[in-house]
Amino acid sequence: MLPTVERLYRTATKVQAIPGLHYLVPPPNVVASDDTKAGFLECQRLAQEAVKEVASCIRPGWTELQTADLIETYLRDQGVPQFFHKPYVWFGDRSRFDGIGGYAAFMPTARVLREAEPFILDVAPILKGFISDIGYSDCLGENKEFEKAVGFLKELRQEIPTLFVSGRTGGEICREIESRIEGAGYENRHRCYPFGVIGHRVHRVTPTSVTAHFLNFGWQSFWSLLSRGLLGQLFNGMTEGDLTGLWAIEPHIGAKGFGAKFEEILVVENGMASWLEGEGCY
Amino acid sequence: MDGVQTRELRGLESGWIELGEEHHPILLMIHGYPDTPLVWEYQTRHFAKSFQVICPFVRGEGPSKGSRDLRRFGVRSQSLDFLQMLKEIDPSGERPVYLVGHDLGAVHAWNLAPLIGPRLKGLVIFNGLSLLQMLQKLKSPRQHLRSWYIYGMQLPWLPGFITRRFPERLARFAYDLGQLPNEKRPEVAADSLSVPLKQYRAFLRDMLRQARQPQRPLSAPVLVVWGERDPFFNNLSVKDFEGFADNVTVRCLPKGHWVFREEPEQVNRLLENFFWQDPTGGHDAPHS
Repeated sequence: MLPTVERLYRTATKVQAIPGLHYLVPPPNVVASDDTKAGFLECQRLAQEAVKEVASCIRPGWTELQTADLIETYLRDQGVPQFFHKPYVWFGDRSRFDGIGGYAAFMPTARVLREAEPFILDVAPILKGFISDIGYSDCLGENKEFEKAVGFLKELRQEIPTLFVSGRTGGEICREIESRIEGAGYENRHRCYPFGVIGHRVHRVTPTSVTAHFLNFGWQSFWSLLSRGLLGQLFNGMTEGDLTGLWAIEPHIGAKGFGAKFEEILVVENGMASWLEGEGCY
Repeated sequence: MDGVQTRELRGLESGWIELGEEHHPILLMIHGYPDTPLVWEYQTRHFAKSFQVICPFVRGEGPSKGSRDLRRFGVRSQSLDFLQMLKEIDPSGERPVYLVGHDLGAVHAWNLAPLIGPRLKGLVIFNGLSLLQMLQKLKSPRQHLRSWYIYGMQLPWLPGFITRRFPERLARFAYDLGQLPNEKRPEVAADSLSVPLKQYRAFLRDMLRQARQPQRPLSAPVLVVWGERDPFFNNLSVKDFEGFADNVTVRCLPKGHWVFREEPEQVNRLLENFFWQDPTGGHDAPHS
């Protein structure tokens, strides 16, 4: 991580020390009730329905911008008023972040999808105050390498909950996931994400009609993470402390010419972890 | 009404008229305002032998239920509805599609065409422009004058009141303006003229949004059949379509806004020539 970014990162953690903050922002490390989990699950299922529906309609010639637009339209039509982050769409080599430099380059572009090209759809709606953040990879046509990558992601998804044994820090778990990705012959493309995250916490927020987005992220995403100090909200090599809570875990692997990922909510409680939805997106 | 199908698509009841055999190429025909799918009767009768003809009811018209959410009347939302409709009709997603639009239906058709992908074999437009083409047209003050009714439609309460109170008079006024002879006028659904009006408001929002996005020209062939005596548009030319499609043919007829009803035989011949062009010069014949 760049020194400047790391300084910023550590500075943001001092937010936690602001007196009285806990009156405004509930503490993160609590066991979610069944009703709360049901709310997050409803939002996650809607997000997955949206991306799968758009993915089923996608055709050669679609642009990333059109695809992102349709995902957003689908979700807003289903009552989603705002987003933790609006849709990201990456086609072909952009799905492994090739040619992506600054943050703005992650945003959807006029890049056109071609036959047999993999793509990633990633969106994080907020429904009734519950945040979900999902990532879905698919391919237009047959692509053996892509199918192999998805097979690996399915295995990784099964393994991740088992890594959350007591005594292990988040940083250790993250490094373990990374070594499994590298061991399978893939690159860790989530290192390109801000702060190199492989996941982040998701919180319940107050439903509101006030919407504002900056660089694709909603104001509530900034608030929900920064108000809790940021550091403890992100899952990367520096994560430490109590991991209890809900996490959006998003391993992103890079193969030759494309990338693939999945992203879903992981529930960590009583020293154990399990996916919010038993069956994965694939 | 024969052949009406209804399904719940994305949480809202949607309807369409379906004619012709299931294994034929699909001819998707989207009507405008204040019409219903019956406006296409001269074309559906003629082409039902060669195509599976699908004529959707736009959002808020007939069995296609309206919504409190204005967004559901916009081009993006209705494009998603049409794509789902196509999946219902052709789950394989492999049959060729020919797309036809008139008036507001042309707005939908221009937006939907690139989303259908390589199986779109042709786009036919009758007296209608895409949102961005309209935005270009609005650079001319004369077009603003001809589009006076669009500004009226943006008002929140009055247009709905007028259409609910005086539906037949409104329809008669529109057909008089569009120079459609009485004997050629389609049946009007007097009880569902107010809800589809929301499309005008939704389209304005979509227009401003689309203006900020890059556009790619459509690669499928496009046929524009235009009634020159249309009072709603100012001087059409081929330049109006530059940059929107690679292969555009424009045919102007000395008729009004509903050219395909005024001269159905001549229009049907134009459509036949377009659909069944020489494969070496254009695209495959519909039966292949």
